Amino acid sequence: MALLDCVQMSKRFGGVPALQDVSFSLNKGEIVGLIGPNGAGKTTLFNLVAGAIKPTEGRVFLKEIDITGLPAHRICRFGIGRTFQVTRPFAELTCLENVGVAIINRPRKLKGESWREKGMEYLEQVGLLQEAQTRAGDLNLIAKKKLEMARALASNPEILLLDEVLGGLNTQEIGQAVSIIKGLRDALGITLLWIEHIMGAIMGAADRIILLDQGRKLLEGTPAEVVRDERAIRAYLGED
Amino acid sequence: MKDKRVYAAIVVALACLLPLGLDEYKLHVVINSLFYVMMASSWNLLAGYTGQVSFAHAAFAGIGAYTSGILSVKAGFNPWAGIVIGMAAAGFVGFLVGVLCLRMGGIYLSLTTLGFSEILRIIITNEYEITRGTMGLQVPALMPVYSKTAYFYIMLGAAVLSLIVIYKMIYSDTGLNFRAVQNDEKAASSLGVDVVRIRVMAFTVSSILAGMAGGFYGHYLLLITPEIPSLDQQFLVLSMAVIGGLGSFVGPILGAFTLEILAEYIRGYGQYHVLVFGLVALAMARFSPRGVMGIVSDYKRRRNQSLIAAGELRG
Repeated sequence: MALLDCVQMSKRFGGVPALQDVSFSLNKGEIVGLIGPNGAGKTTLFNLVAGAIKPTEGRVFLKEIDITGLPAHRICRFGIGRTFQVTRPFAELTCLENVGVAIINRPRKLKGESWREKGMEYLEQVGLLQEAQTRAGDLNLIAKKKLEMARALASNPEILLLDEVLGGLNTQEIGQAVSIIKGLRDALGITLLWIEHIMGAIMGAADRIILLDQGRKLLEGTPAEVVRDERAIRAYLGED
Repeated sequence: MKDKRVYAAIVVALACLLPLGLDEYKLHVVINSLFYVMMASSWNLLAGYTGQVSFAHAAFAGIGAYTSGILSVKAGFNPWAGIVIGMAAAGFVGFLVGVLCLRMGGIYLSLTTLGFSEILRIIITNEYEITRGTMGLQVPALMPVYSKTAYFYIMLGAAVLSLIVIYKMIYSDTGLNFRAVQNDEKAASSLGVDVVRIRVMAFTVSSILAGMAGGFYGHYLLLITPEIPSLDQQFLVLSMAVIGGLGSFVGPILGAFTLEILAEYIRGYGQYHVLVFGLVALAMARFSPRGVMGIVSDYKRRRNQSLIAAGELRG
């Protein structure tokens, strides 16, 4: 049995289908890339898994437990963390406090360690140690993305949903970010479902790729299979 | 942290000496101020820390005052027990209003609480048999022999208790959750914050504290009128918190004393002080949303930054 199973998920917004009949699984320790043109339904799928919105049809199972339609905070406590495509820092809080929010709401409380101490570990992991006392609203875009990641990690997830964390980074920064992300799987055993537009990065890092197009799952396979498939090329380049 | 406790203890100790130097009238103004400290600070807990701008805070003070007043007049309760029951009643109604307003943000929550506040005022005004309407309900004092000095110490004790509860709360994990919810509900829930629970909790606790303030104030005035749960009162409390500084612990305390004392000075010009305070609060909300305390902390931050910059230039 897979770690996460999504079965025939559909979502309509007032009759407009955003996602139709999408099924997929995540196995423990995998990095799965979720790609597709704009409007393909990638972020909608994330929101369904993370509990931000409820599916019109279909079910989500985490370790065979039905978590469909649970509120977001409960899904987080079950072990599914997420980042947002457009970063959502708590602007008036310091970086350390931002991370602290995730720590104090874990289902298992810290033992003998305060959230401030623990929080510094996560800031260090993403390279924000110097900014611990900076107001999150004052950070630049890259630092906000790092914070978004540190915060999601601080909730101690088994599965992490990453939504376009590389957007806006230069080549060198992309390299760093990818190695941080791979480290999450290699060192911490976190399973990753990762939306990304930067093909070079996602194709190199993912074990498996799922391609969405117009709300449907178009194909699924190893990166090598996907880049060769003409349906993938058509989805991105149009039909001619 | 230790330092702050010492400062707070000194302020309270100095406050304890006030009755020595003040005449009856001035003591009355200070007691009023203490009531407003409780009101503005507990409203700030809700509006300044979770972003729920409720217009029903004076109404909850009214529920506390009238519950305690009616119980002691009609059912012979001890006023102290009445205040405790009044707090529970305010908390319970606060919980219900909090649940009702759950899915509402911003303006909708404000409008709903405004409506609730007016409904309550109309009920109190019209249920003459029970509340004596606009005539006011005469209630017993908290002690056998009326003493302004004793009332001052009681109100001071209540205000300190209320402030300790608020302080503990905003500097606890719950306080961090409050601020997270205020900043971004979606992000908060994605990190495991139970937004519903946090919002209702803030509503309930701030209502209990308003109920307590109203209960004590009613038994001090000895006459409870629909003035206590009125919108005038609500906007005065709002002005105090906004001018002092929303989202800061000290701001509403400063705001309450400053505005209450100012109000006494300009009393000669009639009810215009509410208008003036409202205008100042509006200007504050526009130009300095974190009030006087916001201006102070911005100034400190800029000074620190320029000190650091100067140090770097020299170094």
